[in-house]
Amino acid sequence: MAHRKAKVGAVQKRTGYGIIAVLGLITIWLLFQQTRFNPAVLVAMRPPLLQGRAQAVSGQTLVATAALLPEVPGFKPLAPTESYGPENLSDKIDGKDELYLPAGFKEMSCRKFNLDTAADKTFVEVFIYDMGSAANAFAVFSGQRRPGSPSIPLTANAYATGNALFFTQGRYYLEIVADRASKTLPGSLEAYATALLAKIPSEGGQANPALLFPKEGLAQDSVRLLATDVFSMEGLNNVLTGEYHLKSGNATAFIARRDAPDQAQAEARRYLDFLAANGYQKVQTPAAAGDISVLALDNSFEVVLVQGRIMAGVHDATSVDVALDLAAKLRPALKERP
Amino acid sequence: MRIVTVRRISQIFFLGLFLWFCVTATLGTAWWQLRGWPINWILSLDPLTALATALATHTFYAPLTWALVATVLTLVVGRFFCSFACPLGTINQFTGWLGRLGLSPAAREEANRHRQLQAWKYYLLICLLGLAFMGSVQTGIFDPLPLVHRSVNLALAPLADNRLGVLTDEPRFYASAWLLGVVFLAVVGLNLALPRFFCRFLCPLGALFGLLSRFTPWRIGKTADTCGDCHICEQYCEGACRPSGRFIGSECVLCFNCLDRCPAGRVTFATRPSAAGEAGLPDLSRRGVVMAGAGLLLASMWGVGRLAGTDRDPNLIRPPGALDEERFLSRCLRCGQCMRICPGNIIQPALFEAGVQGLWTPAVNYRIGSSGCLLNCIACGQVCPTAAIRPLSLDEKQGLGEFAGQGPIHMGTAFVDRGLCLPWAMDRPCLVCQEMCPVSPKAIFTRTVFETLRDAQAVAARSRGPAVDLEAAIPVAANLASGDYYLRPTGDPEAALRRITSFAGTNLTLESPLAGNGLPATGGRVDILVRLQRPFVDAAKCTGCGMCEHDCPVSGRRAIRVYSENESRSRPGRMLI
Amino acid sequence: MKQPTDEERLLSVEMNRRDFLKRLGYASAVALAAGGAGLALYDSKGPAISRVQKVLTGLGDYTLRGISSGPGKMAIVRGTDRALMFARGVKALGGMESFIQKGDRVLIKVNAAFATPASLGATTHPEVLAAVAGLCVKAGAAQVLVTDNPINNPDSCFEISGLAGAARAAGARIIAPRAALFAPVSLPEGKLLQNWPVMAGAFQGVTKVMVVSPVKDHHRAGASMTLKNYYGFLGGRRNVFHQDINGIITELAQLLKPTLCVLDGTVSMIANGPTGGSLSDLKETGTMVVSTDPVAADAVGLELLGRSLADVPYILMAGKAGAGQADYRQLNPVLLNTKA
Repeated sequence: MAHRKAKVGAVQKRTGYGIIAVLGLITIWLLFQQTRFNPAVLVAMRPPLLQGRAQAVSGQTLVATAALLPEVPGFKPLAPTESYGPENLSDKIDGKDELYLPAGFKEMSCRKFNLDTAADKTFVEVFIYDMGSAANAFAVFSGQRRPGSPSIPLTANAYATGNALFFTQGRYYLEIVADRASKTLPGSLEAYATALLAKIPSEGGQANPALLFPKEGLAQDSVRLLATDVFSMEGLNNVLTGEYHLKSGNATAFIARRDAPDQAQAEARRYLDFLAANGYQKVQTPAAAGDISVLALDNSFEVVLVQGRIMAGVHDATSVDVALDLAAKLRPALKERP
Repeated sequence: MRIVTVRRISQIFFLGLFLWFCVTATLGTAWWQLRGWPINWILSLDPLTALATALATHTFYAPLTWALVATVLTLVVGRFFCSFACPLGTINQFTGWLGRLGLSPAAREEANRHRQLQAWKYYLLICLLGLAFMGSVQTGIFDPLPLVHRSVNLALAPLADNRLGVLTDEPRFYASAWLLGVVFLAVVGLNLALPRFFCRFLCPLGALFGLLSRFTPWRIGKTADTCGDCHICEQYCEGACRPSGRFIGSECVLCFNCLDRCPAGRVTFATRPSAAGEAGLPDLSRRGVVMAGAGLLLASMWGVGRLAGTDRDPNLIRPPGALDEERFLSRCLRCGQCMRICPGNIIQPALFEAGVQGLWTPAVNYRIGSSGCLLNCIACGQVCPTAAIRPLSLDEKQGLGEFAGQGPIHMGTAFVDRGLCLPWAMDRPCLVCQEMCPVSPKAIFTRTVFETLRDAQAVAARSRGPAVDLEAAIPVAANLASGDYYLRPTGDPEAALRRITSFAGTNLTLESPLAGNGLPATGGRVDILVRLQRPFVDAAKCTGCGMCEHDCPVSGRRAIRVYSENESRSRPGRMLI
Repeated sequence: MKQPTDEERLLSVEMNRRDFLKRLGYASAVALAAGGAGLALYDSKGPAISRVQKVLTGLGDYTLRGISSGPGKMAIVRGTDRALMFARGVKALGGMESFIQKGDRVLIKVNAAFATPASLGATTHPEVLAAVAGLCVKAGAAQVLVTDNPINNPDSCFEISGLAGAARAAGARIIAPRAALFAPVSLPEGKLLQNWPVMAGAFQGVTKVMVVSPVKDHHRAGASMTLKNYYGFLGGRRNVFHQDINGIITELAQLLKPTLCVLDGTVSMIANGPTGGSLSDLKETGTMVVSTDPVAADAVGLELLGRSLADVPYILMAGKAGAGQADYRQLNPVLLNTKA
């Protein structure tokens, strides 16, 4: 077996080093190239084009609700505020827009945050919906009320779940939703809520209509604002109802605030006509006061009364006693707050 | 430092670099992801790609300029690329070395004997160049660089990674990966029969380099005609180029094994011819060359089949930014980079959808992968080495900014198959397609109809306020309280529908009591209806992104499918004016 | 082993140097050629979205000099003998000599859409073609060409409709559509005719254009007369334009301004157009319109069908777009009666 030549010529050595040097240059060039990101990577890094009206530019807010979302210490914004109108609300909340659109939705802004105070970055998203009026705000608030969640004293209408706060203030409906429940979370969320409420202009004097209902016998969290065709009557809109469980039976109380007393009267007359047309018969009850009407059909009793600009009464009571009982409680409650 | 050591370092460098490019072909900014790594650099060094696309398109695409560097260097020193750079060459050489461990010197010499069939790669090259001249670039099937990229990225890497989940969280799937794998294993496995089998007999790139090294000033040669005749040089010759006798320059792959191992140092790399004589090229028969010219004929016959015309397959959906079919096939290398980078894993190697000419070209399949074509992604065009898929900007893809006039790129149009769709054919509410549609305003809209349930017509019932009690249970499988079911007294089609809000046994609760008096005390009957929102496609807005098809719950033959109608890239596909 | 002599050694060094230089030369030449080719074909931008092709903006204006301003000329001829009606009509407008000069290449656009016999009225009647082509030849035309891009197979359409025979008899040549004749056209400010293949190749060297059409009902368009005849210039998958039929006809009307239009309402297809198929679809309306204004001619044709301008919107649209005058009375048509 012949030996390989032990010595390597100078030319071969130099060529070898030259080639190694070229490989080194290629490496350096590659390392430099990888810092200049491919356009596909740049695009993938960018947050997706905001479908709603973008509010990223500071100081230049085109949308009112966006201006109301504060930056609170401890909440690190993850992205610029997004805003949506009726035409593209579904882009954010998809099919749920059916709940807001018929209820007078005007615009919504939302923003995502990370909760710095939590060790593991809790994700929080804040929504503010401008529903155009306090009644509409209450409608969407009560319409999606999570059953069993306790009311909190934050505002006139507010409740909390394990990971979120839901409340209304004036014509705004607000949600502060975190991605998990924890002991410290409620405190943090309420801190944000307080800051948020401070920015919302108070539309003074709008008392919580739910407070109109007499407390005794009122089923917890059963107050609802029904928007249209209430009690199957076409044209009867915006009626508050509350479920009652009294000793004498069960019934539903209803309160409808109108703009003027004569409107309330007219509405009451229409409702009575409607009931009569559907077979309800007037009931003569000596116990009833003169200006309330009591009607009955089978075992269901209706009471209608007018107080100032409020039409109110009892619906679907199980007995005439409970109907009158509730009506009697209702009238003074209405008298207190016109 | 011995030249063979440098060669080995260089081979490891380029093989490692190639494998690194395979890893980094993942969209992202982490150190091991795409960032700015030029993952097409090795492909762009390929003069065969540059030549074929230049012949077919009459343009020289700028990123392929690297090929000139390789060309000039080859003209001066020879087929350095085969031994110093080509990743497949390295794999072949290594496998061949493994296969010959323990072989006797005589067997080694016999394995490296120059064979006449080595002329075949030149015939293949001529055939491929003929095809390219006629506008059909088929080099990607045989060219080692696209071949190794395709095989590793689409067959081997997913095999390794699908269980480990290192490169991607979700396993990647590629249609007919088995075929790609088998081809690759065959190429590599043949090295056990004869070393560097592919390089010697089949590689058209090697043939091109061979032609270019016809007149290199520097080449391997013997210093004296007669020597010890130990034939050690032959035993380790990678190119089978006969270094000990009449040296065939175009077959030498510059492995320098002969130079390194000659015990007397009689083999040199110099500017003079070998003392034992030399030949520029192996014997190429005229008949072989003429037969190779059949490439021109083959391309013409494909023209008779008129693939790009009106009989094209509507299932062939190309990635967004792809050129019209004729120009596409004059550029696509089947390198698989677009398939590798697609974050949704929907770009797949075509088998028959694009005809024989389109084997392994990218075709989109919305049933595989993790979603439809993502609205905010432009990856495929940005990694195509020859711009068969144009590098789009996001604005151009979505039809925004300066491209607002021409609108977004359409890959095709979705069509609802009413015979399969749940709300159309099965009386079941669905609407996933409309929810998933990513464009704004949506390209899927709905018309609502109420259909009476077959098993819930004229059911005897009583009502009391918002409660309705059925006389008997009804055999309805659906959850009547889901919000999609409504009740109406039988025989009164004008009556208002009442949504059912809860349902227990035979007791239903409605959202509000029935209109009027409700049901009569006896003999009352009700119908239960389901509210169906039936999807319709607005073809003018549909971009064919396939989100709908991907998520349709009818998972076999989808109830909404994208076809290539109205795709932006082709006139014949234009459906709307 | 015999050692080489000094002479031999010097010679071999000399040869080596020559060989080296020759090889270096070849290598450099190829390198330069490759570099040069690369530079010549250099493309830094990549391929464009669609093939860049030179695109025509129209098929041309073939109206006579004197007529292009002001309302056109029109003759409405009543009768039953097509050749006679045409002869009288064109004479009333100044005679064929005023339209055709010696050496003109005339292109006659006929309606050969279907492979049906002339008696069914779905195509231009061969008698009219014979009359028009014959008078052109008599007036000194160097060549008369007849063309259409039919819906059915072109050869059978021209033969079975009798138009091929009439052309041959008159000494005219049929130009059948083939791929090479189509070139893309983009109408400036057109929405539909953007980069669409049109049979522009038939107009090579043509100096005068005549459009000879039958009067037909058309299910989709309302009526198929002169303006609808232009549809036969379109190539590609032109059926897509049925989605805006009035729009496409209006744009087509702006594409071409013919020298003379002949609207043959001797026997009109008043129902079940454009294919018809039954003799009961036809009515002997006994009128032929010879005019320089295609819009006005069609307006007359409408009356033969018993329709109004509101029924066929493209006539008013084309008029508004400047292709002619929808109120044909403005042209002060000459009324003739060959039966008297």
